[in-house]
Order: sequence, then structure tokens, then C-alpha cells
Amino acid sequence: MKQSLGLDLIIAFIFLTMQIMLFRHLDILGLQADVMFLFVLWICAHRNRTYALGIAAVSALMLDILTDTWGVHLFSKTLLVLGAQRLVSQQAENKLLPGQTFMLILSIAIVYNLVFLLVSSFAGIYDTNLMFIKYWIGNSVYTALVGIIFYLLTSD
Amino acid sequence: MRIVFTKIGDIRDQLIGTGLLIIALTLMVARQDDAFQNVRKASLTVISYVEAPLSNVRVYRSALRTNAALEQNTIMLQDEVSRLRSLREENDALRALLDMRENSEYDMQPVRVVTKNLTGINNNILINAGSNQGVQVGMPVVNHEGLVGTVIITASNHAQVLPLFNRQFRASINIEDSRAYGILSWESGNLSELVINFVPQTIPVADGLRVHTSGLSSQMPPNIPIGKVVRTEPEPGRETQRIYVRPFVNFTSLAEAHVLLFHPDPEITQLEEEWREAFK
Repeated sequence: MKQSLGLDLIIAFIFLTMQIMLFRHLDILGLQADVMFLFVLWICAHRNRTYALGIAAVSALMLDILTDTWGVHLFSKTLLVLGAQRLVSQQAENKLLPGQTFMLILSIAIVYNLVFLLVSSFAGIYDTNLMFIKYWIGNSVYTALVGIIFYLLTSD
Repeated sequence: MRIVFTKIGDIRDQLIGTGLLIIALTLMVARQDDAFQNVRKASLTVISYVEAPLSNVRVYRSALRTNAALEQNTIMLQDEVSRLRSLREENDALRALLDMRENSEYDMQPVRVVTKNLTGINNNILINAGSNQGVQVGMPVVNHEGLVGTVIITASNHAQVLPLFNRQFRASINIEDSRAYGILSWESGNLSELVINFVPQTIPVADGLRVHTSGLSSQMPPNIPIGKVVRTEPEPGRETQRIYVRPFVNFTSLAEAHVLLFHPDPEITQLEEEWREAFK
């Protein structure tokens, strides 16, 4: 896919808007899907790591500003790009089946949400002690489900 | 031995990442700092504008949930009110019965109505006291409103009552403020009126006068309230009149009563038996 900073920023803005205005309110039993996580995965799959780091950082910082989380998304999404970019870009070339894609997204989401919740706890944003497992696993599954839907809608 | 230095370009992403992580950590730490609060306020203002249209949707969803909860509460409260009203009515009836029992000169056996058959065919009432409780055939059954009927059959712990609204029921009565005596019965016309026969037309009986037992019968003590006169009709071809009476007792809501443990005077009973023997 041709690299275009303007287009990627517009897509980032669309995902950011979706996250703020839609998916923050589409909670199921308090669980939320992180579509910005899916956007970062998409960037990792189709762009080089440095570029993905930049786009992910800008979008994560915007999300931090708009959700008053200040640094939590930036930290966790930076780690996500550093840790998962190579894997995701390799698997994107392999043309995975939907089930395999779902498992890949779910696996990365579980690791990402673990980091995210731990960082949130460190930042004192969430008291995740009581519902840690619920938020960790639940948010991961929800995000993976939304991710596979996006994947099915956008794949050829 | 040659030392190989890693080129900056090889670790560019790691360096950028580390920088971003440090920025993130700084933001997290600085978040609580006083100097940072104005920035947070500005971001909250922005997000409040973005969120404003969605808040209406949220309010609507919340209102739907609240509405459902309130409807459920309303149903529960209505049920509670209904139950409390029922209990209040029962309480009023029991208090009235208690007052009546304390003021009565006769012993009384409190009873509950077990079954009530007032369909118009063989009307009867079953009560939860029988011979074990001292209930005997012929004893009057009353509540705080007045006469209900008389006991006709007794079992060990239950008894059947012949209510006012039974064609076999008879009672000697007296109309207040007069010396008019008569026999009260039911003519199966409807379940709201009784009739008094054998009262001479020469005795004026006004509507609204109270009717009570006369005491001329050995089965019932005098002055048990029965009802109120609603109308009178001269009996064609006779010198008597028919007096229609609406009973005080509300048989529809009748649930508790007392059996008057009334025992006729043995001397009167003996005289009546001798009289019957003499005319056999």
C-alpha cells in the first residue's frame, strides 16, 4: 500500500473519532473495544516501524488528551508498535484466514491490554484490582471481535 | 580484535520508542502536577463539546432504564398498597369484633369463615369452630355489624351456619321504637333483602327503623341487630304487612365472626317440651 502521511492522519482521525464518539459508548457490561489499537495494528501491518511509531504516537497522544489519560495510551501503543510491528507485518504478507487473523489480534490484544491496565494502574487512572481479569480478557475479546469485523469488511 | 559499534540507524526505532516512552511516563507523572491542570482543563473542555451530542443519547438510554425500574417499583408499591388496604380492612373488622366481644354479656367463640356458599342455592357458611369449642346447634352467629345466622350442624372443629339468606332461616324480631314483632325470613328474591311477616298494618313502620332480635325465641338473645327497614307493603287480603329489611352484615366481605355461646333458660326449654308433649 502506498504510504501517504496525509491519508494516514485522516484515517487516524476517523479512528480517533470513532473511539471517542462511538466505541466509548458501545460498552458491553462495562467492556470497551479499543479501535485505536486496531488502527495501530493496521499501521504496523502496512507501514514500516519508524513511520508506524510516529503515526501511533500522534494518534495515541491525541487519544490521551481527549480521554484525560495523559501518557497511558502513548506508552502502551508505543510498546505495541515496538513489540508487534515485525510480527504483524510478516503475518499480513501471509494472507491469514479470518480465524487465524482473529487469533492473532486476540493474542496481541491480550498482551497489549495487560500492559495497558498495568500502566493505567501505575498512572493511578484505573483501580483495576477488582475487575482486572474482566477488563483484561473482556476488552481483549471485544476488541478482537471488532477487529475481525473490520478485517472482513475491508479485505478483498 | 575489532570493536563493532552499532550504527544509530540500526537502533533508530528503539531510540524513538524510548523517547516516546519517556514522554509518556513524563505525562503520566506530570498529570497530577498543578501546572498541568490548565492543559487538562482545556482538553476536558474540548471533549465536552465533542461529547455533548452523545450525552442526549446516553440520557435517553438512562431514562429508559430508569423508566423500566420505576414501572417495576410502581407495580410493587401498588401490590404493597393493596395488601396494606386489605390488612387495614381486616384489622378494622377484628377490632370491631373485639369491641363487641368485650361489651357482650355472653361468652363468644371467635371463628373464621372457612367456606361461604351464597350462590342462591342452599346458601350456607362453614366456620372453623365446632363442638370442641363449645359450639352447639341453634347458637347465633354474629359479627360487629349484626346477626349472620344460626348454627345448624356441628362437627368436632367445624360447624355449618344457616345464614340470613337461606329459605329455612327464621328469627323472631322486633322493630325499634315500636312493639311490632314479626318473623324474619328470606324469600330468595335477591341477596340484599329480607322480609318480615305477621306485623299488623295498624302498626306504622317507617323506613330506616332498625330491626333486631326480639328474644321471644328461646334460640336467640334479644337485641342482636339485624338490619334496617327499607320499605313496607300491605299484604293483599290480610291485615298484616310485609316489611322489607336490608341486613347490616355485608356477606360479601364476611370473613370473621363470633358464635354467641348462648344457652336458653333450661326452665323455658322444659316448659316448651312439656307444651309440645301436651299437644302431641
